[in-house]
Amino acid sequence: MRISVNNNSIEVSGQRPLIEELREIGIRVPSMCYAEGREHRSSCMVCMVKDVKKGVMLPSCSTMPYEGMEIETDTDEVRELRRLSLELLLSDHRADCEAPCTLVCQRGIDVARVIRLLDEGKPDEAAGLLDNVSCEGCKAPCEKACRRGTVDECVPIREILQRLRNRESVLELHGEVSDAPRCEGLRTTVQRPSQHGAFSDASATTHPDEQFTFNNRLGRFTDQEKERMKKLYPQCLHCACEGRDKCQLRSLASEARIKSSRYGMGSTLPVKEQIPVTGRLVYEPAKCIRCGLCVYNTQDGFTFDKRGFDMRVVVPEESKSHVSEKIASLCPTGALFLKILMPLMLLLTGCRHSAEGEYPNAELPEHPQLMWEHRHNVRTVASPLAYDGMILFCDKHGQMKGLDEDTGEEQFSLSLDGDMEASFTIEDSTLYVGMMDGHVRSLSLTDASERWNYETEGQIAAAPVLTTVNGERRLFVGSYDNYMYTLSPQTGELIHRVPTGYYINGGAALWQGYALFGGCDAWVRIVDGTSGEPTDSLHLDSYIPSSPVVYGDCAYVADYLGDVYELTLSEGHIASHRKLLSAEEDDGGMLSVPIVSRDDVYVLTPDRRLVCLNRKTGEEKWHSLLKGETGECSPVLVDNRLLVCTKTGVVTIHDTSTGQQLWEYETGEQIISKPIVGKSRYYIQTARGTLLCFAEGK
Amino acid sequence: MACENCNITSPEEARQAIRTRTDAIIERLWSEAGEKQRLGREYIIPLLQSLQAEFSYLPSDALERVYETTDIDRAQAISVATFYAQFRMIPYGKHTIRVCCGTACHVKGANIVYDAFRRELNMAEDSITTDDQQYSIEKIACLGCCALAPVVQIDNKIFGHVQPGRVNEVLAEFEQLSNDAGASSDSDNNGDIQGEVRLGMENCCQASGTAEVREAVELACRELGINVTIKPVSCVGACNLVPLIDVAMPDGKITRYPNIRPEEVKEVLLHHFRPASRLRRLRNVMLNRVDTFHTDQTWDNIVYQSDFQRNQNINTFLEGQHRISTEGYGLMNPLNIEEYIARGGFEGLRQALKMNRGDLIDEVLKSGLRGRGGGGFPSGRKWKIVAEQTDNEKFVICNGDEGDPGAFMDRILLESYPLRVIEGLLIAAYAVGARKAILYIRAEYPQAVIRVRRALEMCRERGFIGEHVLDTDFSVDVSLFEGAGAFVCGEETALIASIEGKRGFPHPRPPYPSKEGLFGHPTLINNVETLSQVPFIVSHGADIYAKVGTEGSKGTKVFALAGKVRHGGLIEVPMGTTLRQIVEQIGGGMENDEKLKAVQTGGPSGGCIPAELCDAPVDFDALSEMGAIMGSGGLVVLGESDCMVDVARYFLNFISSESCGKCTFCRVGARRMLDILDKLTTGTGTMEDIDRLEVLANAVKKAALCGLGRTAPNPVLSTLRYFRNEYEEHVRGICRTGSCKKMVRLTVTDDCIGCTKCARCCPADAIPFVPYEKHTIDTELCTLCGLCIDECDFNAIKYENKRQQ
Repeated sequence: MRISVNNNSIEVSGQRPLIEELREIGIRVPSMCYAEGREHRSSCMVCMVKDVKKGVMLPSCSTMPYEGMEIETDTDEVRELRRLSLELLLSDHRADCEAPCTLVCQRGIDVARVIRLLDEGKPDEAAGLLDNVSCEGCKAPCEKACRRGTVDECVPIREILQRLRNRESVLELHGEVSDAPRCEGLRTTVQRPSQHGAFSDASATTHPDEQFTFNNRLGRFTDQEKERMKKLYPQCLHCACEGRDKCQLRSLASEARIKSSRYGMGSTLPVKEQIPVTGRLVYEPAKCIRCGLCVYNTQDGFTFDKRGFDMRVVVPEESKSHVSEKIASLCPTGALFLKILMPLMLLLTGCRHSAEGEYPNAELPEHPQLMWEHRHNVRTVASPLAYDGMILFCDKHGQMKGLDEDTGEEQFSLSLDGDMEASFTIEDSTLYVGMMDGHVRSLSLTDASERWNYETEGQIAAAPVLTTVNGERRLFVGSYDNYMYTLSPQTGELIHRVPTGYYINGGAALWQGYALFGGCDAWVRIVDGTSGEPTDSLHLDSYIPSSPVVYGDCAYVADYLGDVYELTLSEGHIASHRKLLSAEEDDGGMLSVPIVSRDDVYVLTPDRRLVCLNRKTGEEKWHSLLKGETGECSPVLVDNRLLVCTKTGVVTIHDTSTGQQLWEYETGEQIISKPIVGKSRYYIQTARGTLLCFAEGK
Repeated sequence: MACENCNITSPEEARQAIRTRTDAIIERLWSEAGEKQRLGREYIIPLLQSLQAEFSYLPSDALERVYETTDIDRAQAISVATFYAQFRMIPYGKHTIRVCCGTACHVKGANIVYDAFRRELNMAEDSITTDDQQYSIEKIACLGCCALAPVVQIDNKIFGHVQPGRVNEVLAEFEQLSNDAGASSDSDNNGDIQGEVRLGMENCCQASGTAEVREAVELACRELGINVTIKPVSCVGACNLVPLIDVAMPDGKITRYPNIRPEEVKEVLLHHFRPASRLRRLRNVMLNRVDTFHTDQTWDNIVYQSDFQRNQNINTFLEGQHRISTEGYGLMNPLNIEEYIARGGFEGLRQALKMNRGDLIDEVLKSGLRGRGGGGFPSGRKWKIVAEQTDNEKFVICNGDEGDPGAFMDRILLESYPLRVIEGLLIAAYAVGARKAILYIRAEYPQAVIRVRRALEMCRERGFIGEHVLDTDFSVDVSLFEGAGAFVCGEETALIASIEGKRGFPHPRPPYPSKEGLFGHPTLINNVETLSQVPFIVSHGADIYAKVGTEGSKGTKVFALAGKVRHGGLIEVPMGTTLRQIVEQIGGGMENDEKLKAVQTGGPSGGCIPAELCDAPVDFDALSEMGAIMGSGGLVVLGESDCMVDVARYFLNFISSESCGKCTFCRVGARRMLDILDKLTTGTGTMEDIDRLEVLANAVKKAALCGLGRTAPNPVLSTLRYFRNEYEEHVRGICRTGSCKKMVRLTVTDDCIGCTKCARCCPADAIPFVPYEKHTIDTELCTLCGLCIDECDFNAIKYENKRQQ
């Protein structure tokens, strides 16, 4: 069929939407909510064209051409409406395209990126960016512009850059600044390195002649927002939008030379609220333009909530597992993006290792059969424990319950009055637990009274670890305030604490009076339990979300990417180390702890494999492909059997010598916490708070 | 939480009980749907409605069960449940107070009523439920009882003319009523029927106390031994004159008693009918004496004086109207199919079935009938397009999702004339060759749903619906779909989406529903009123129909007349009647002798027509020339005491909360217009704001995705066009009517004599109690509720603009 475009007659197939036909003949039609070949519904209205015959404006992405259609794409009317639609979208969009420190630097240093690289543990690359530019004589507008300055104190940018030029090592830097809170700016979230500069080759859609670059601003924080920022970020707020390189809103606004929207700039949604979705995928609602591409292109994943101006895209907790990381590339703004290091909130849904993992008297039933089940229906991620003939579990809101191990009947109940996700530890009828609000608490299980309470500044994600050092009992617990604490289990008194560069998500492992732990700054540290002094450390390729495991004189550590290391220890030092297993892909997702026996190491890899490695040679003995995604839950080794729970809810039992699957059960619910194994029975807990007891079938 | 109805205490048991009840509902819907597999996604809205009816909200345990046992998934359930206003995820109190915020109620102070209820119930600032879990309160778009504004609904009971100072009385009356519930009436009708008493029993009639009058009639009949038929009839339309009863004698003489009170009923009946026995007569005289003595009310003036005075109003109200859609007003029992047939009902269907389809469509084309839903598209052309489609499966939908605040025509038509609407629907289905027809009725009209459902059953029994209708080849099935509360679903593509079980997102047309509609099949969608005109066209012929109306707009139009007019109500007038005729003649002029300022037509999609243009004849084309639209037919009369900027803000507020949110121009654009209007109505706007507003309004008009979005700026554009000076006054800090509360304060003039009446009525204690001195108002405490203005006998309290001083 023939249609007329800007008074030129062209031949079109009539089978494709107008936008495709126009783009084919070289007419640039901007759009955001349209993605070729994907489900979409017209929403952004940036692709407006005018149907001259009918005298109406139409979104070309969902309009099919008809015979004799007359279209205008280049009139002032069309341009003004497109521009206005961008301004309206910008009036409901809150983010910093670039960090203010980078924008104001008169010597052209990408300050935000330097700090980000430092946080990724790449001081050399970071120093390379400084490119021998000196800060000498500069009045440091970067520090004046720093948004952190509006919250409390600005990040001491000049000092950090100066140290970097002097090539002071990251560890030293972190160690040295530990007493000076001003320098905690280094211990912050780390962003994905950008593939190319934000301005130059930002997007193919940028008109080549245009020099103007649009920069959105976060604007002022309210008092409440300042408080939130303090909680969310230890220091640097990492203002710059992590999705700016692919952001079409920015490139189109640049093209339209919009400086600011006539209808205001901002958003009623929480500022910089970053919601972890799956893997590295993070969702920031305040940047969303509600186009719905992520909604239409996932099954039971993202969905719309409410309507009208209040309509927003949400992803229910239970639906997160239906979403793929790849959806990020479909999002036309930085609302959906991939992080290399997990933001705080995502880590909190990560692993919660319980120190208890050994079951000396345990054996797995030959023919497991479901004996009882208990449905709690509240999210429960902490691992359950067997105690006094009961199975104790605790939901996300701190409601603890004890079920009879034989019947599943409720026998005990205790409310901790606070949110908690970390697993707990019990010794001598005393409960030790870390809460989301940073408190470490000790409660008596006999009369439910609180024995002591110690406050840290960050959330606690892993179970406290009890041990004896020089005849004294000690409690080790890591916090999101970047410290590893040693407390007295009797009094809750602080004995000492060790600063690290970033959050501590996993628990500690103990070896001859030394404590070993991994941090989200990708460092493994060893601390002398008596003096509290760090004795050695090792930098891995990626951050360490889980606890190390000690077997003999060897420690085993897995990082997020899926690499597994073996460290040989000697007198508080790392005598040698080697990589036992290299990750197959860089996507990461390793959250579980390796399991070690005399001869073997068993690992659940992010690519859904259960791998058995020879401990001596490091060679793979066998592997078995699992039916579900692997997650936080580590395998449990009992004699010559392995009990494996996947995140997608499939429970299997494998033979340790061949990897052969002997038994399978589908719970239909996510599993995050570690199972309990008792004599001829075991207990599985799902994230919905369902407890299943399996025993020998008759 | 423990369940109220059973003695369940443990959370586990309660959860299990919810799951069992949910299973029963799913099972029921599943068997009704006749599905072989699991319940499909398109059943989500009826399913959620049933769940809410069962639990009064949507408990998460019930939803979890839905995910487990049906094809509905979590994402879909959230998306749908949060889109429609009907659904709620948290339990409400025992009783729900719904304050109507329709246009008519708004201009009569609905917000003050809302605040008054909150104050009376001591509700915490951010809570919608009282601490004792007795009452929850919410604002509702429109209850469709505009002539009784301001209106409040508590549970199923509607209260009209609610005064902010009297909300405690409303609550007391409600509590009284709920305690009395269950008092039943058993009439023993034997012997000769002496006559008939007719009462309107529509939602709005009940709101004004017709139910109490009916009880009084029943009681009086028993006491007096009078044997009359009590007949609920279709709406007369004179909503402001209700409760209204007609007494019909066997000789055909009808006497009409508007505004009757329950205590007057007995005397009225005695005037017409002889009590059964002498003894009863005697006893009655005695009782009356005693009553009169005790209550100091004389009955005599009622019957004898009022014949002319009382009926004058209603006669002018009914004069000048022309009945097609509302034929049989005040006479017919809405659910008496025999009576409908006796009055010529289903004659249209009979004749239609004898005609061939093409001729039938030509007849409708010839009649010049245009869609009454708003756009005014010629109905015959729509029918023709659908009829031409070759698809075997076609649908006909009756659009009864009347969402405009200030409009209640469709509700009355469905409540009073359900059979006529169904007949029109059947004719349409026959004409286009559809085997399935759906009546889409909004959830806020429970009475309409009940009646239509009953009417459908009767039609099925009589063979008007089903296989081989009236022994012809034509077979049709009609179902009812309850909307779930979304204004945007009045738009046809959004309505289709909602029947398909999705959010009510419109999609750009083409493709038009007439080619690709419900589930992808050709679908004819006509408004309730359009269909109710069809039987007349077919049975009387297009020529007779086309004689009524103007050149471009044929037939009659039903309007909901409300606002500052003396006699509001439902009226049906020929196209071409002028607005002034409607206001002056039918409406009886302005309330309180205010000066007419403007008439708002077409709800949020329409505009304000200034008084000087009110002599133009009303038809589709004339109204759009004036920047308004016919819309579905709400007419809200505005007087000199109404602020036009406030009216524009009111509609934009409505649009921005009812916008579906799909496209930028409506979702963000409407909100930004509202932001600017907020600035203007709080006295912080600038002249540039007016220009920005105009630019944005024009853009939204051009570029929004659907018809509703494109007409959304009309209230702004029309007021800017005719009342720009008022906008400019607001920039200067003046709201001449005192409607914009942030810009004014109340002051006491020298006319005050210090009677303390205002001090006593002030709910905020802002007026100190100082007798015989000129009163003062503490502006810090004053909430500007205006109660004192009403209370003051000396007209000594006035609004004053803050910035003038």
